Amino acid sequence: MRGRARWLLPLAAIPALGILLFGLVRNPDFFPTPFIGQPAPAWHLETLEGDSLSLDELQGKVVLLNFWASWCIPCRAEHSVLMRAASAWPEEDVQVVGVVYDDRPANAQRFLDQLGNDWRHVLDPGIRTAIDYGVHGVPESFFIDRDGTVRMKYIGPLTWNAVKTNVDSLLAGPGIPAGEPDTPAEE
Amino acid sequence: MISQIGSAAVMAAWLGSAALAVLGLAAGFRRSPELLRGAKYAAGFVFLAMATAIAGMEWALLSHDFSVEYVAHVGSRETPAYYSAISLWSSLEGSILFWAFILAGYTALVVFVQRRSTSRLLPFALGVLGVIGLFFYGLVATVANPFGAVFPVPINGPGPNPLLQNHPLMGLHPPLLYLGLVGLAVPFAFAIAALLSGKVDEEWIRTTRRWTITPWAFLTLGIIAGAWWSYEVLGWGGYWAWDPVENASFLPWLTATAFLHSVMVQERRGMLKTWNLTLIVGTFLLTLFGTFLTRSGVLDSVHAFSEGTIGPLFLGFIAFVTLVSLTLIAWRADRLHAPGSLDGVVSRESSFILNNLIFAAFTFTVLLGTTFPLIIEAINGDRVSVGPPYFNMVSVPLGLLLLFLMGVGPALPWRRTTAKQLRRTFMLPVAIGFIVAATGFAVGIRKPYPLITFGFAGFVMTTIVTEFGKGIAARRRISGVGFLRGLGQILTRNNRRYGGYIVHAGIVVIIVALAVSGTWRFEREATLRQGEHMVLGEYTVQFDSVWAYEEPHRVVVSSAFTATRKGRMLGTIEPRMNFYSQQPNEPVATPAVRSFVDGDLYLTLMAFDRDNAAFATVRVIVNPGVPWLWIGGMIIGIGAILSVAPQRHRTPAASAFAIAPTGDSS
Amino acid sequence: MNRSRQLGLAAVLLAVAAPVGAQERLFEAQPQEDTSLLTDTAAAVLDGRAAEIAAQLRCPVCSGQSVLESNSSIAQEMQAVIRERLGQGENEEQILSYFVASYGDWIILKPRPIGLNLLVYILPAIGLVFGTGWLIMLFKKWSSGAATAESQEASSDLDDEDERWLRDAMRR
Repeated sequence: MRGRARWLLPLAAIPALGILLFGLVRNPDFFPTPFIGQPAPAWHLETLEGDSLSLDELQGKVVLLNFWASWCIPCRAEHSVLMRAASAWPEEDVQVVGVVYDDRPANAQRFLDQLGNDWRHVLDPGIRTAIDYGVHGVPESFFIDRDGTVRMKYIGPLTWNAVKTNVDSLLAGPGIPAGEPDTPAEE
Repeated sequence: MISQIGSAAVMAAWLGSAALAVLGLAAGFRRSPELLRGAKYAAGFVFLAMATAIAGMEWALLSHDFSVEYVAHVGSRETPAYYSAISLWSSLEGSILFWAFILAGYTALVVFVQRRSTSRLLPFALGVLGVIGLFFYGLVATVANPFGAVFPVPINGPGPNPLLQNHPLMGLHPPLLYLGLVGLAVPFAFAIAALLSGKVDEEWIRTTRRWTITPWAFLTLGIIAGAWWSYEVLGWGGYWAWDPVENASFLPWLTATAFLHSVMVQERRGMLKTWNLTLIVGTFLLTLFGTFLTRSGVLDSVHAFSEGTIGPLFLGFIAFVTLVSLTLIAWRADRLHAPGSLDGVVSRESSFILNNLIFAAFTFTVLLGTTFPLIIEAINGDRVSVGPPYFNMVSVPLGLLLLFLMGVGPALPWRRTTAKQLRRTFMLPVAIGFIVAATGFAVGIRKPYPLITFGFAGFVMTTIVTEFGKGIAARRRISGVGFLRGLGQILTRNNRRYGGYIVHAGIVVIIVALAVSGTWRFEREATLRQGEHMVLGEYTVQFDSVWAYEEPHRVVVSSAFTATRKGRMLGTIEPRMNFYSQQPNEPVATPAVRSFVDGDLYLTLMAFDRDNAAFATVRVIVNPGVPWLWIGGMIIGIGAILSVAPQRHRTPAASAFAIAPTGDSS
Repeated sequence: MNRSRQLGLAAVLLAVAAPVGAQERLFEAQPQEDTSLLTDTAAAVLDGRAAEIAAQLRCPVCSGQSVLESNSSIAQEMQAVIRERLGQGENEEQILSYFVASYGDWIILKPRPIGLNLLVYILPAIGLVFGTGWLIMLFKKWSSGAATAESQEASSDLDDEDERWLRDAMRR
């Protein structure tokens, strides 16, 4: 302590301060998902219309799986993006599927009646599918390729840019899409 | 109107603090009594300015003056007056204003108490408090200004955060905590004063003895009140979740507690000079770190305020304090070196040093656990969580070691002890400890941790009682008084020591309560139809009814359950759920707690039948030991008051805060 | 307590929830079969184990609460998942792995002792060992220096303070 080494004492604090600085610049809402490159968890659920739908049936298509709820305000903002996505590609290539998260079917239906509905929605009783997919909150979306592999998880309301980039790259072929799994701007 | 007055007052406080910093430091370096007088006036001026700001804010809150930004943000006409008043600390800007006010109060109190002091340290310490104030009043004046003017003036506001207006304890927990955290700035300022002046002997420690114990006691009570609040409001029947913000108040408590013990070694033996300075600097940094965590949104936490521009500024200030303090310690390293000497390894000083090692390890571990998710994310981007299972695992053994030392240290004499003395001192406590643990085993407790806890608790309590017994016996021998007079005499004449023992007893009570509630708590959740009941051990709980009513600021859903214990009726228990308009889909639970000597029956309404009120889901928790946490807290409070009270025979007519200029000897 | 304005639950809640519109799903109890007379039997044991597991899992939508503590619907459902899987004979390890597979390590409140996570377990131990060693060294150094310096009486039962007080008292 008494030699010249004592002047190193203040330097010892720098890594700790660095960690705190990192805490300020990181994005606290970003959660990496262990599913990237893994097979998407299977599901077989009742649709809002009363039919049934399973992920297996969609084999061969790129699937945009979107978890949402009528009580979720950002989901409203994202709805127009999904409307656009549902009509942008031929149905045999891309299928948008909404998963109704922790909501009453009647409320979900009312939400869709108000805002429009061009794609299929499945009910998730007991939130089990959401738990299978590791959903933290709504809205959250998964991009699943033609082989049923999760390629990308998107947290928060989708932007058209993100949808287009990811779907196009999945249509182009297997592999991880370009573009960081960034999270979008605030709702 | 209040906007302008408040802003002006805060700006005046900031300017006053700049004057305080400059005059104080200049008075210190130039040894100028005139400059010191100027610094004292500056401190008084800062206090008056901050008092004006606080009074203005309270006036605005209570009169619902929505032209003031903060009131528009947290006030509402429907909020009851009590909650309007305490919403001063329900949001970021108000809480920093309050924080800054307390700092101004402590600074003025230092000036008042030390008004006759001729110490070399005082001007430096005032200067340091001025520098700290410069930062805090600056925050209030700029990025965290609660006095912004709103135009057009809203007719009404949203009201405070529902969680913070749901229980009267909110009026107690934050002020206690702030009085503790901010108060620790005073010993820190004197430590820096010692370094700046080069007078690094024991004076700064003797001067700040009460300035350390008092904030320590506030901090302790603030933490306990916070635990109580969580227990009464959050509805899961727990009181401590190792949440980052809870840890942030616990960390400075750990280092401050270590400091309280290690300064005694320096007072007695002149050792540990560098260590004590480092501890108080670390404690102050941890109080800043805690404020930073709460106000920057760095770690997700139930208690965190929303993020803002404050984070980077706080980090800058933390960096400034760290670098300056450590550089000063390094600069004075030559003077700080004191040849240590230890007559016997078994002595009170060595037990205090060991206690400090464990407190340091405890602090390091909690700090590491709290920041570990950040560290991992910084290294490789992964997200991990460190929560109660980890903290419980590491803190129980360390806590038990500290509990054990609590029985050893006070009973050991300073310097050294002989084997014979050791036997005489510890024979009875050890025997009682074993008897307690064996009794526990005999009645069927098989888990090791509770058994060890009870054994140690028996040991420590016996030491404490024995110490009291010895003291009283000595007093009776000397002055021939009776038992009670003897007790009164040791409590008033040697209050630091015996007050300390009472604090220890309170902590033992809390540790035992923690062990009991952690081990034997159990809960059950069920959906019951009207008239149905469920059974939990000795209790039965029957659902009677659920109904709703409106209050001005909320809608309350209340439910009635009838409970029995061992067949005896306990009457109606009414857990509620409060729906505030700010967050209609996140009701705030108001659990109903029925306390007994041995524990609580705790009911939370989880869900109910909206359509016919025919059934409800209730979580019932049997929580043994919990009332003793709060009782232990009160014991600590009594002990702490006793130990900072003036010693009657030495300063007969002095006020409660009087400290002799040269420090009282004890 | 004010029961004067008793209202239908649904009416009141609709009034509160009106601005957002669709919160009816929340806090709605589902009656189960056979809930009366639950006693401390098999169901309770299952609850105890389920609670132990739930306490180790972090609630995904809350900040800093465990699945056991949270009353959010997803936490409640996760508790149900735990009970079901226990009922199917899975052990704690398997159930935790299931949740890690969907949520990553973030979901576990006590980091699994692998890779970098080991640091959170090893560093405190290293610190304690190092600190103890340093202390032993210091004690040795200090003891050797002090052996001859002052060899006073070992103090008596009375603390120095008491002794001082005693002297004062005698003088008076």
